[in-house]
This record gives sequence, C-alpha cells and structure tokens, in this order.
Amino acid sequence: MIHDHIVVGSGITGAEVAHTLVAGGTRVLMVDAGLRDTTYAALVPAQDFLSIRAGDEQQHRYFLGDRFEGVPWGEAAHTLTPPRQHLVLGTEQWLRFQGAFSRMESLAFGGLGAGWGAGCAVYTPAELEAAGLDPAAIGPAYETVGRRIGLAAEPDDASPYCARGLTTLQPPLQMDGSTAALYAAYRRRPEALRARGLVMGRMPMSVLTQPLGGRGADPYTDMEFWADHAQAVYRPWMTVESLLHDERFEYLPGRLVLRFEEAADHVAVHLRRLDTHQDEVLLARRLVLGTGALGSARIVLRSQPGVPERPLLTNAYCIAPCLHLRRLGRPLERERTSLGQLEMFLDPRGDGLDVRMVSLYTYRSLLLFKLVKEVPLAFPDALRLMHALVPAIVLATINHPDHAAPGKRVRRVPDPDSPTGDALRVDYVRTPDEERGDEHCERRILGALRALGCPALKRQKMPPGATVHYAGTLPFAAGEAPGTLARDGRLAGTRRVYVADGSGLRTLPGNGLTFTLMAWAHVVARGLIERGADA
Amino acid sequence: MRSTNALGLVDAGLALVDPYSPVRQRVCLMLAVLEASPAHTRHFLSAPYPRAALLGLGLRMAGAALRSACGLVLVQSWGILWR
Repeated sequence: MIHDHIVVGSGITGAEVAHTLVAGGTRVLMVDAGLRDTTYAALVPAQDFLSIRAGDEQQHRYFLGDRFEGVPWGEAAHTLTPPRQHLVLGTEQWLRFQGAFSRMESLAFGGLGAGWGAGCAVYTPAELEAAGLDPAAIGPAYETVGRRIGLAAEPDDASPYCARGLTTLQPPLQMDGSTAALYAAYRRRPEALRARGLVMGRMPMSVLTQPLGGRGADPYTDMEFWADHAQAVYRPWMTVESLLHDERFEYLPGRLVLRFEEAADHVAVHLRRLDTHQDEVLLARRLVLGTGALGSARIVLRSQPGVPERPLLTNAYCIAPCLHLRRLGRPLERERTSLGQLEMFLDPRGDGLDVRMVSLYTYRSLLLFKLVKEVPLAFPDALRLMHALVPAIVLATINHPDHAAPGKRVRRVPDPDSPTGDALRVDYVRTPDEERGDEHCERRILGALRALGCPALKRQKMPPGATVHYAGTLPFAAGEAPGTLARDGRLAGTRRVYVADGSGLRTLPGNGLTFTLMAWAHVVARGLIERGADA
Repeated sequence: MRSTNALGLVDAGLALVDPYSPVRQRVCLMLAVLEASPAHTRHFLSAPYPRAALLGLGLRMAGAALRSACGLVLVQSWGILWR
C-alpha cells in the first residue's frame, strides 16, 4: 500500500501539516513516537495554586516528582516540571547526542509543543525575507493558524514586532499587579524607552480568554506549568486528537523514523518500533518531516550520506532577575497566569532586523526553593530574603537572533552504544562580534528596566541551545545543493520529500519562532494540496 | 557535621565557594519537601508586610553576611571534607 502523505512527528509543525492536508481533502498517515505522561497528569487538581498549596496532601508528587525529578540541581539549562518531563522521555536512548550544547528534543505525543510558552510572534517582513521565507505566503498563514488555535492580544506599541497583520484576536490576558505597574510606568513616558530603541507591550499568546471549540478560557489558576484542565493554552496534541475523528487521518505511534529512500513513484520510509526494536517500511507518495531542525537533520544525514555537516542556528539567551522596587511587600494576587506577562523589543538599528525580544515573567508557581538555591547565602538566610523579595521579582529573559557561522555545525557521527548506531554531534560557538552585540543590547535593555524602577540583580547567560529554538540545518537555497530546501520546502535531491519545520531558516530572529513554524508548515501543506499527490 | 550550628556555617560557606555541593543538595531537597507540604506552606508563600520590615530584613542579612564569612573560613580550612 502506498499512502498519499506520511507526516513524521506530532509536534507544532507535524500537527499543522496534518491538519491542513486533511482539511484540504487528502489522506494522511502520521508516524510518531507518541510517548505520554502516565504518572502525573491525573494527580493535579483543577484548583488555583494557592488552594492546592494549602490543602492538597499529594502536591509533593507532582511538584517534586516521585523520584525528586522536579528538584533540579546544578546549573541546569532546562528545568521541566514533573508533569512535563515525559517530553524528554526516551531521547537519551533513541536520539543520541554529543557536544557542549544544551539540546532538548522530544519523542512525546505533541512534541515540544507541550512545553511551549504560548508566545506567538509574527516576524517582521524584513525578518521573513532574511530567513528565506516568503512574506506574501506566510502573512495570510499567520492569520489562518491564529484563527484556528485562538490568539489573545490587542494592538499596542509592540505590535509591529510581534503582531503585524493579525486581525482575529481574543481579548488579551490580564497582567498581574506587578507587571501592570511596570507597564503603567512605561505608558507614562513611552518616548523615554523609544529613544533607546525599545518598546513594551504584549505578544499574542495562544491562550484563550474566551471559549473556542471545545476549549475553555484561561481560569487564571497560576498552574500553567503543571496542568491545564480547561485546555486554554493551545498544544499540538489537541489538533492530533481532533484529527483522530476524521477517517482521512491515521495515527501510527510507537515508531521512530530512521531514514527514507526515494523511488520513481514513492518514498520508502524506514522505521523502528520503540517496543520491539523491529524495523518496518512504509511507502508514501509524499513524505513530510516535522521532526524539528535537529530531528530532520538526523533523518536527512542518514538518508543522503553524501550530505556534509550542516549549519545550526539557536537563539542565545540570558536571564536577568530584576527587583521591581514599587512592589516590595505586596504579594501577587491569587488569580493570575504563570505565562509571560509582558514583552519588550529592542530594535538596535531601527530597521526591523536583529530585534531582541525580552519576555517578562513574575514568579510564584515554580516554587521558592528553586530561587533560594541560587542565592549565595545559607539556605535559612536565603529563604528569608527570597520570601520577602519574590513578589517583587521580575524575570527578564532576553532572546538574541542568530546567523550562520563556521563555528555552528551539526554532523552525524558513529555511536556503537546507540540503538541506531549513530549520534548527532553539535559544535556551536558564537562569533566575538555576536558576543559583543549581545552584550551591548543586554546593557541597553537592563538600563531601560532600571529606568522603569526594576533594576537587575544579576545576569545569567544560559548555555547554547537553552532556548530550545533550533533552526537552519537544511537552509533554503536556490538549485539542488545537497542538504538544502527549495522555497516550497522540498528537500534538494528529492522529488517527494518535504521539510515543514525550522530546518530551512537561513537566519533565526530573536522573537520566538514557534508561530512562524506553524505558519510555514501550513504553507508547505497548502503547496502539496495545490500541486496534487501525483504532481 | 552532626552539629546543626556547624551545618549552618558550612552551608553558608559552601554557598559562596561551591554552591552545588552535595551537602547543599541535601539541604535543598529537605527544603523542597517542606515547601511541598501543606503544613509548611505559610513559610514559603508571601504575605503583605510593611516597608519598615525591610529594615529588619536588612539586619538579618547583616547577620547572614557574618555567617557567610565564618562559613567561608571553615570551608576553606577543611574544604575537602564537604565534597
């Protein structure tokens, strides 16, 4: 049997491709590892954070984990809460990795989208062009995808950097008191920050503030990192679950795609079962990879042995805990969200390129001990200090753009301990010019926050890869150079293999790539529908 | 190490020179267990307090700095014992 389309992966891009193809009347087989959380999801009550803290005797199970996996130690780049740790289940075994690079990949149902912060930034036309994407195609796709998943936002000073052209919007999420006071300080004298190249506002969030489909509005329980009983925050597994009711869609879990071979009228997709380790082969007229930039690179490097090492892009990232002085002694309110509250954008040259994105979070539901352990004092002293300061803490996370450079490479290497016999090796070093540019921008951003009454207490640069934004491994290029993509997502050297994730991006803007990847996946799928399965 | 007073000083010293030491990891784990217990919630959730209380906090932090200095001397003198 030859399937019309095989889509690999159930994450942000795989789910979007499958949805668009099925909605366009074609048949889809989705192949996925599809691992799920079977331990914690059912334990978390549908209550707000403070009620749970006061009354649930079982809270230690999901807050700390049955094996204390929710108590991170050391300078961890990624800290997943126990209910989210299934996102990385099996990756150490099946997706072997080498190099001083903080990678996160997923074999979970819904992929890394289950841990996404829900920010939906629209790239500026200049950023789309630089990344190799067609603004005329991506622009309408943003609107289509946003209407389907539901976006909460309203026009403000930040809109040109993150919400350009979006029209179908739900009311924005309510800010908590701390962030609202910071935003009010900005609104009193916005020209002061604008003169520094900075604006402040709210990014569109894929969080419902009004019911949509079978999903409910955000209940402001401050529990988004632990559970989402209302399904207010969009996750790709929701799309796949809804597709399961369509006869044109078939879901095949428990499989890892190893490689593909193209024949005259089909693509042979080689899989391995995760349970029995048996190999299988499926045939398709079209294969669409939505496995993330690292996952797609792994599959392509296995399938096209002549392809040399590939480039890699990731956003450099820094976290600065700041102290909002006006909020000292004033606790956060009960009804709030743990998600990003407010954004700043720094446009260093005023041309819409190399924009830095700053997400501002307040802190409560990730528990106090995680902050206390970072204070250079004895635990009892640190606890007293943070107990007093934490309501006034604003975490500023600064994302920098990335460009291809010789020191940022990924390649496939032999690994005798791997069940697939290989591993990905990443070497990633930012250039001195990039380091200087990042440093300069961080100083400007933190200077602006200080002017708003929110000085930084420290600045912690995170290791490369910590943003979990990876792209650029199969960059868009004209012609058929090995290991590149055509403008429609087709892999060079093939006729039936497409890549719908971020592998094609030639540059990686600083303002979160997830929404753009969904729009790109939609464009790839629309192209497949328009060309027809046999074209 | 069996003395709780000594542990406090060791913790304070290690926080400066070896913040991710196994000793501190154990203390952190105990803190996390307390935080996730409803009986101890009030020690971890913020409550309103007057700005004047910041003065008291400042005095406590002065004491904390003193403990850190003593702990630093202790840990630097017998540092190998704490790994």
